[in-house]
Amino acid sequence: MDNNKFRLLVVEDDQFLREFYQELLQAEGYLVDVAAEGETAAQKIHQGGYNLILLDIMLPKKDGLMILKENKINPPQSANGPIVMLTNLGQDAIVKNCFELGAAGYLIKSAINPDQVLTEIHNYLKPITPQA
Amino acid sequence: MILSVLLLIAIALIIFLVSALLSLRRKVNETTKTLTAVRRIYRLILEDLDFDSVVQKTANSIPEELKFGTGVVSIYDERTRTIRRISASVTSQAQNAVKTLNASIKKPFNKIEISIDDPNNLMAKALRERKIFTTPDVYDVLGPVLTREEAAKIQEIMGTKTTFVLPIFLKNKPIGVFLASTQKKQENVTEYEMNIITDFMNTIGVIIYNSKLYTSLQETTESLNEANTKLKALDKLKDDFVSIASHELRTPMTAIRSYSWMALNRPDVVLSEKMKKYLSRTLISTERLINLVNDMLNISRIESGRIEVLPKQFDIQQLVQDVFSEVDVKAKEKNLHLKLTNSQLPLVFADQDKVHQVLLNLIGNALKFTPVEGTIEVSFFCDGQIVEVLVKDTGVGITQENISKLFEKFGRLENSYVMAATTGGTGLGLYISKSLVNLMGGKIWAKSGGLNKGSTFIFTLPVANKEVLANAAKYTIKLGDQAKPLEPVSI
Repeated sequence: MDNNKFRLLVVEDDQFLREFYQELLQAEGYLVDVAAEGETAAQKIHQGGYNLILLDIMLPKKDGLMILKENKINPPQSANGPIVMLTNLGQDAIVKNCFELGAAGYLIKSAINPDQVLTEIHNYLKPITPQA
Repeated sequence: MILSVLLLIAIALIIFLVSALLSLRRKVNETTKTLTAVRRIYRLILEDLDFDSVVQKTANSIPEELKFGTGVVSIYDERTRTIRRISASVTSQAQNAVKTLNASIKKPFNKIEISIDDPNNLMAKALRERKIFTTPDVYDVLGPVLTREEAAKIQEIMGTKTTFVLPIFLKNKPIGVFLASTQKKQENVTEYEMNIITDFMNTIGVIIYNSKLYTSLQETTESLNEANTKLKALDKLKDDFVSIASHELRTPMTAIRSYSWMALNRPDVVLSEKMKKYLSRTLISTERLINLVNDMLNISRIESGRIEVLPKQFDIQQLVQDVFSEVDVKAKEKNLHLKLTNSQLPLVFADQDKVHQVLLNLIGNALKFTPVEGTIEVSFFCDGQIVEVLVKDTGVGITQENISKLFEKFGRLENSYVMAATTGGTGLGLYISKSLVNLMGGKIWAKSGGLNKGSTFIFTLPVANKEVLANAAKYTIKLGDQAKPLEPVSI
């Protein structure tokens, strides 16, 4: 698959982790955009055009749940692919809440290996045709 | 002659008897009247238990009943050895006196404290000598706190001619002093009035004492409630702190884990064998640290009673099947066979998420402690009341003396330490499983043929039969806002 046709957004406030995911995904050929806090993330998501978004929950300025809520009420100008939560909050209630707010998946950072993250992303992108 | 003498004697006798009878009747009437009055007073005072209102009613009682000018209640404080005025009757004389004391004399009513050792004050004397005193001069009860002139001014306002000083005791313990003043001269005070005053004095002690106890009990309850509210708030702060701190801990741990993984797995990173070993140990230890944080969070939630149990009916075999799919990748890494022995089983009645956690833990342990090519088998037994879930492996086994330590906190066995260290085990999983099974009304235990002879972990769950469903509340723990979720188990 031509990964370089997929635009991915990584929303992560921790610099090391943000750069880690960026490097991991770029090495796979994806085009990676990043956001380090909630407001920038919300703007980017609203502009749209990403094939997949990895979204943290605990974020400065605006948390992941709020971003999901706003995205649901006020859809992006240009459609996005699935939003997959990538977080360290693993409680059932929060997971459930995210799915209700439109998240397509839920990955717990501390519980899965980076190769599993790649597999998951691959699976979410499988049915999607890259955006022009 | 003799006859008329006899007649006279008889008449005298009759007169004597009649007058004795009349006097007796009068006495009985008077006693009845006194008793009725005293009863009326008590009933009024006893309507309330609160100390302030009991004391106020006590102060009012004698003036109301006997049309006296004032009534004043003072309490004896053992600690300071002083007698302090705390309540005056709501009669106009008493209220005017209080006003004058507070405003122009500037010796506020409730600040008039008399030492019990004062040689002249009649209140002190009455308590010391346990006797009623009567005086025409209010200085005897106001001095030496008030000067003679000030006392005279108060006496003028009240128009007092006689003051009764009644010591109040309970079981020989001094409680306080009651002052009753009247505008009558002492010689005009009737026997009836004296009776009421004495009766009143003899029993008012227990009333004041009880209401004091009641009020202090109320105050204690109030301060306990306050302390409880504060503790709850602190507890919440602590919970929030632990939640946030553990989340914050996980972020750097995830970074360590991710970068060591990257170093080990990226083809463009060249590592020496030693470096590989060091990094893989860093990776495993970080995983263990992450698991420890999760397990400790779970234990703190279980032990502080924050875990809800919301049971429902479900198929335990299906759940085991789901757990098998979850651990499939791990099992394949070691070429382990996962086997499910199906039986005809009724539904169980338990909290599915919690059972899921227990199964993940037991099967996860079996995965860790069973060498390659081994088998992990889950089977069931049911007697109609409970379902036993048996997780059996062909792993390293447990010696008899170690079996009892298994379910303790950090009860990891010595010979399993190395293996646990290389597999990310925390030594807390079985303790958590035991706590969860117990919360759901089940039991958990283990058996093993000994070292290298495999282990079997068994836990029970109630069958969803009529009896259990009728007593669903017994198996349920609902906490609402107080409830905390469980952190996921990693395998």
